[in-house]
Amino acid sequence: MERAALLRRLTWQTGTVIATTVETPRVKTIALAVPDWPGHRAGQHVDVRLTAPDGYQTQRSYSIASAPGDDYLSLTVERLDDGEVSPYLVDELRGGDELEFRGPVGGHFVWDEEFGGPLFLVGGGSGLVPLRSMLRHHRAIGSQVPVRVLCSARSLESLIYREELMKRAADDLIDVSITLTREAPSSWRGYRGRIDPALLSTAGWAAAEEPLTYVCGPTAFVETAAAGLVALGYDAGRIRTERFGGTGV
Amino acid sequence: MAVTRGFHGRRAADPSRVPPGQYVTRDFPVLSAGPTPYPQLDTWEFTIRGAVDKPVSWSWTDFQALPREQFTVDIHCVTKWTKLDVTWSGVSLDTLLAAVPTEAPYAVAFSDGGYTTNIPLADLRRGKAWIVDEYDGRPLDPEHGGPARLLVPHLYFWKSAKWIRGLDLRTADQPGFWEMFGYHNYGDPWKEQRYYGD
Amino acid sequence: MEPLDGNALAGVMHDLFARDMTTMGYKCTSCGHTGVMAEMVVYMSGPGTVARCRGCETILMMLTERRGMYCIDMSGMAQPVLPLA
Repeated sequence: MERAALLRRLTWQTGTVIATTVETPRVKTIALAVPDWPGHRAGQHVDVRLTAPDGYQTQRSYSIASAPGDDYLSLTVERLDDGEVSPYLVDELRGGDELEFRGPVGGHFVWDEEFGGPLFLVGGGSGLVPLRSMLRHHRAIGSQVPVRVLCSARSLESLIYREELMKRAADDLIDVSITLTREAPSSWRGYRGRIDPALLSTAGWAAAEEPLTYVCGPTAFVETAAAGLVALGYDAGRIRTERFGGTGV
Repeated sequence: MAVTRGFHGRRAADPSRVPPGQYVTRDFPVLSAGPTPYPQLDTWEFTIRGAVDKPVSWSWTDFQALPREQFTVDIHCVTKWTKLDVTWSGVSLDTLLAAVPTEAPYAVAFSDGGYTTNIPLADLRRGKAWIVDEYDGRPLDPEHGGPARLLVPHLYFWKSAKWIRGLDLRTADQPGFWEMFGYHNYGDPWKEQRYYGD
Repeated sequence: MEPLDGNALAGVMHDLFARDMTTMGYKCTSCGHTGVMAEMVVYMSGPGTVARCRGCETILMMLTERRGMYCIDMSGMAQPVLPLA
């Protein structure tokens, strides 16, 4: 009976846009004030719904970028040129607007402190969004779990959360590696090129450390990373993946 | 229902050309229920079989030698987009069906990847349906159904099976992939026959 | 169009089952592959949603919506293990 009482159907609710932050020319973070937000687990997402004056509705799923303990619920959205929802969210939505959504949802691609580590977070493009929530949560609760992060982006300009990542990298428990796949400044001292087993091996943990790994990004990126990790001897049961249909990295 | 400020969705348009509940898009959305197949053209065949005296197959070379038509039609997807003035090129099903005498009233189109959809044979005759291999003057992309797809523009677009490999002619109607899962058996966009029972 | 994965079904499945379903375990009736819903290969761009086995591409689950009413067919999976609510 107690369990039955916890069953909760999803309802659409409304948040108010507090601020929008430009992450890259194509990517924005939207901070929402949500009355009675029940809280979320790092890695979860919400479904956003848009309604036109003639009643036409459409919805998409977006990962939550904020930590459970942050003041606002944040979504980071990449503009897809042929998209229907993301151009609205990136180009049109502004402070004071109301946005309809439901959630939080998802129980697979989540990190709770009790899952332990060591953690390896692998993100391609806007696949970094749920990983940022995990990193923020990790810091907010003062977790002692060591973390390695591997980010893949086309260029330095298209890397989201650049400053925040640099700041996190200063922490002894957190190691951040970045690879740029299309263009890198001549002074670039990070990695270049697409992820492969060699890079995963260098930037991640030895399989013997039994890392808990989260991989998020476009479908092809996730497939490459997951296959590479398994080839390195990572336990497939400790690799969690989330794929989305964004642009390539 | 809360309207989202500044969101216009898709544009409704000329009601004489756009069926009820549809919105006009300029894109060509890709709809898929499974992985995109990449058949080899040297083993590709289009086959008409089932309730016929003898099945007939066309190789890719045979198919290319058939008389072609280029035409421009509107297409209507049950997911509510309509695309106007789409130019295709291919072979009329009248040409193909002329080679296969049959009394069968129904057809099930079958495709690489296992997709099927059912259509009354009368809807595939009299210049109403084609097997097309060119879109907008170019070979049809695999993601849009290439090398060849069925095109039945007067029905919802799920009837225009991508990656088509043939027709199974039948004496009794048999629902296809989406028809089995609650979509309308016939699918006339002008009568808004989206779901079973519409 | 690249397929998504079962994480993308979290919202609609939560709405229907009043709990997270992405951690639901399953066994593919065709190849015997076992996994959780989050790992399924999911095509959402068609008239309905099709979830396929990551091992063999067999259709595990179909989900169609008809004016607010949902129809779910799970014929491709055996032994669904519902997560705790």
